[in-house]
Amino acid sequence: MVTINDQGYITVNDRVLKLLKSLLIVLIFISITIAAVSSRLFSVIRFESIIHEFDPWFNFRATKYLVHNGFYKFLNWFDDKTWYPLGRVTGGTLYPGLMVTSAVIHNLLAKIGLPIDIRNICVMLAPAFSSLTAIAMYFLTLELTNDSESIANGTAKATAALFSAIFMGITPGYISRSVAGSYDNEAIAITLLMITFYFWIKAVKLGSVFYSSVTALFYFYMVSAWGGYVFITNLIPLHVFVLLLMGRFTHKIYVSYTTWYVLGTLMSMQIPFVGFLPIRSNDHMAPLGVFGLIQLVLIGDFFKSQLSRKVFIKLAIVSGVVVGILGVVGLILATKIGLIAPWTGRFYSLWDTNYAKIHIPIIASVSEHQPTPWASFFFDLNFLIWLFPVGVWFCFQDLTDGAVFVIIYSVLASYFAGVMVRLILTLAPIVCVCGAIAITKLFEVYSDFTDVVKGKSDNFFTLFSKLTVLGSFGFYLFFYVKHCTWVTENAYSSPSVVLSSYAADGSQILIDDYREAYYWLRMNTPEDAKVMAWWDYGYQIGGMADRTTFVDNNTWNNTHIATVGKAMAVSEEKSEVIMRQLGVDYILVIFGGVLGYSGDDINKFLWMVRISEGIWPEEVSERGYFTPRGEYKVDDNAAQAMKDSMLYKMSFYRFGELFPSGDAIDRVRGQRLSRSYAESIDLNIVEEVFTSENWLVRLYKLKEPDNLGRSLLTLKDNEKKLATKKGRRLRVNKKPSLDLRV
Amino acid sequence: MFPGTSVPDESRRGLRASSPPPSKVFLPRPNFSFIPAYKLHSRAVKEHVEQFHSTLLYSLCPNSLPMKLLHSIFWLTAIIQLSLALTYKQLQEKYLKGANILKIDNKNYKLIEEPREDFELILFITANGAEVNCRLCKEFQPPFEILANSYATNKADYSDEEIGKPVVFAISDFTYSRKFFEALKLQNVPKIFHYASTEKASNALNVDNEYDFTAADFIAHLRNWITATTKVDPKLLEIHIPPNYNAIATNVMVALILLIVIYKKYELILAFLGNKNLWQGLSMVTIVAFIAGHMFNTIRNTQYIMVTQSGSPVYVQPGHQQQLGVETQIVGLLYGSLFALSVLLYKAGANKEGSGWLSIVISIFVFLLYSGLIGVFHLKNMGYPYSLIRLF
Repeated sequence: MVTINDQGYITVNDRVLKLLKSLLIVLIFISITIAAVSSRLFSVIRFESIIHEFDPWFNFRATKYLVHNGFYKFLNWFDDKTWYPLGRVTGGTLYPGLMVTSAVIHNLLAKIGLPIDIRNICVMLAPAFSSLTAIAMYFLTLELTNDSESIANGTAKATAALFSAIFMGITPGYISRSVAGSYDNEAIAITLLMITFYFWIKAVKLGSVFYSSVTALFYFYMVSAWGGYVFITNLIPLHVFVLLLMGRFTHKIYVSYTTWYVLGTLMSMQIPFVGFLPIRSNDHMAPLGVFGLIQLVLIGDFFKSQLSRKVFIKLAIVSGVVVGILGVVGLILATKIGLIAPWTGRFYSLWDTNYAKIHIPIIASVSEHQPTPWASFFFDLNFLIWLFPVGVWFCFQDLTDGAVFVIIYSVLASYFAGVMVRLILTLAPIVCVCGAIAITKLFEVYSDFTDVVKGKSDNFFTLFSKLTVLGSFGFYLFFYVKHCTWVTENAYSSPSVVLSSYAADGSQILIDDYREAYYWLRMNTPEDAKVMAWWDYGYQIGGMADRTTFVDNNTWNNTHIATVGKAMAVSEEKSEVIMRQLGVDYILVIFGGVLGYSGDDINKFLWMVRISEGIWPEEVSERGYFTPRGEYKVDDNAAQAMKDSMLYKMSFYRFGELFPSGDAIDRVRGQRLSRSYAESIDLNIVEEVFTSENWLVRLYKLKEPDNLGRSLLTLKDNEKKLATKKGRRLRVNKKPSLDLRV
Repeated sequence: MFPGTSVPDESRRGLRASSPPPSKVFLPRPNFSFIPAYKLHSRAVKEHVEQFHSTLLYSLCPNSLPMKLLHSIFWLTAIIQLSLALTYKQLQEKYLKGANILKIDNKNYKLIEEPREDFELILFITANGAEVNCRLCKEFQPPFEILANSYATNKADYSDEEIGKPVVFAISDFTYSRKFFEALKLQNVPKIFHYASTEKASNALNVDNEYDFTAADFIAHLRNWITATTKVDPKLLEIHIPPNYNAIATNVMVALILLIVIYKKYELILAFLGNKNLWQGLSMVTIVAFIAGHMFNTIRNTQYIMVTQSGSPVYVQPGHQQQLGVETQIVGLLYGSLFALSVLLYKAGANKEGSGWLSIVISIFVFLLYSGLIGVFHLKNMGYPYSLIRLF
């Protein structure tokens, strides 16, 4: 196999080389997989195998339902434990792809004799799919670059593809949504996004019905998994549209686009949640428009080949005008009649960036919908962010169909990522592709040592310069790995259900207040108890405490959320009325003042006020919660509306007792409540039933109405008047007498 | 399908952070003499009558003739006083005369002090004159007028029962109501006051509510404020923006001219639009702008630069939740230069005749700029542990 000839050259059989090469690639992939999976395991190792955050708890609960009750029951699932008293048609309002995927994996593993707990499958699903994403990235980049000599020639193709796979494997922009335990739709959706694009590029290149059908199939999978499928729905038609504008119309494009559109649309309509949206909603109009346009182009193309130039131009103008007018009139009519739904608010807010801020506070309030500052881009993508434009520039040097796709994707995704912080997730793949192209081009030029070996004149300088460039960029790559590891470790590996902090001696402290409180709820309250909390905690209460909630992270009913917000924002007297009408039993409040946890309800309070103000402007006014000087205060100088509000009282009730010898200090807002004032905060209509170790979660029970019909407020006043100083102290120390129910 | 609610910046920094402070208008110190505005009006009369009822004499012999006479005299005066109060109808006939907005000037400003029988008054106090130079006044007057006109338009569609107590929108400008300003002892404008309907005459200083010029979206906020203070049905304040015929005409003209230009010069335009460099430049600029956080500035309306208490400028605001306008420019410049240098580096390497010095120089620059970028990032994220070389 290996021979050394008489001149001293080593010749190796090219079959062996090929084998070696593929072995190497396989080895690299194994390494990427190990790197990708292991960097996502920080949270499991540090904490435990636990579902994270908020949404994953719902997905987990739904998956359990699916595994226990089967697919058909799952599709028809009406959940009466959320959105009390309305309930939620859960089966018809979720993307089932994620749950079905894990259920299938669970059942398959059970079939082959590996029964694994469904929770562990859910926890590990995202890391497992991330390694698949890396492979999909490899093929996508290969497909994007392999027909262009200038983007990556010869041997460099595989290099670029491998680089992109490595980048994607560990980029924090993707890890942020795919650490172990982050059991969310995005976990599988990004993989599907990459696979869909890969097959789309292949289909366009070959004009193959087979590949575009496969594209449609994966598109369907994507639709079933994530609402972000709209990105594909609009990107592919835009790609085709730009190609048409560039005069690149071929029958290949026609075949692949029409096949994808027809099959993809029909299949996507099979998802109950999507239903008839693909032909009605405006964010699906682009593919329909391009579908119509491409038919016209095809007809035009035919006439062009049959008619003389003059006649054709006349025909083109006349038919263009007619079609244009017909189209506009049709569109207006359809909208008027109501065939076409107006823009969905969430999508509309992407285009008119002030829309959500003014009209839909519920959307503006979500932390993921905030715009992205530059630091987040750098944080999530490190040096790739400045290599990204370089890669796009290389794509401009040879505008193949694939390169056009990269450019459109880049511009669109960077806009979307700028508007909404969570869409960095869709930007990350293309940044990895562009970064890989850029770095491959540089390496390709500077790792070419043939001149040096051949012994040209300025041998040393050339060698030195090449080593400098290679060395520096090699170092940047190393730096990238360090950065990614640090970011993953510190920013994205916290389950946010369990918090961690450091003690004075540097040892780690785990703060498990959430689960403590949810477990208390589960064990100490009746099974049909209704718990009111801000919508953030709805899914967690459902998942961990298994109690009925009023609002949750699905946020489908703005009025209902506003009602809960109002119950929190108004005075006890008014709040009691609302809570009785809603049927509240328990109230859950997150309070970070003791711990210094800034994501607590008092800090989110403004949104509760704003959202309820949107519905009852005459009763709730944001301005009232600020001091006359416009400050957001919680101490003695707090605004009256603030002091009266239910949430404020429930947060700071008995807060003064923690500081027996002085002023009470709120550690989040850094404000002092004087001792006498802190003691004066009193509650009449609810009683405290539980407060977790670090006061993070506080639970209250709405008192039963008085038997004699007296109002609870006056009752408490009388009691206070009667109570002696000693009696008051006893009352405060009284613990709820509740038995453990097992 | 959301995670949690975000923590708004205002809850950390206070509401006023980005709101424009009302511009100070210095008026001549008013020579204000207190007008004793206490005349006998309905409620006062009723009180008077009640007082009379409670007198010993009346309680002893309520049905004696002199008492009855006295009683009826008291009631008569009460009724007369009641009719003295300003009603909405009178207001319409005497002052509004078909206009949607009541103008308060030197002559009629006293009407504020009269009792308002059956309407609420929203008064916008402004100073549009050149001598005052109040930027906010000019900014807020058109939306206020839109709201007032919308109310008038909506009111025509509803019956009186549905409307309830009508709201009267009034404007008082410093240029023609100097006396009123003096009476109010105003120091700064613009201001929006709410005078609720009263049965008693009152001083113009007796403002029931004052609007706070805070939020960015003035018209929506003012609308909410009016609904909250006057309890008017929000549907009556649905906003109608009158079509701006000037703008339409201009747009049509521009479109026509564009069409003609396109028709005449379409080959040139096609060549221009078909130019790759144009699209390349556009794409590069937009991408760099977006990844440097341009959209954040647009959406959040961020400040361009910040000044500390001691007066020194701040270019980079720490923390991932905030950003200054100038940061985008700094970072955009860094990204742009890094991009240009990388392309140059590639070209230098691809050029076989090059000596190699160029590549070394460029890669040193790339290194320095990248260190700079990380340095700026350090200012944003204090806890970030790595750096290439510590520049600052």
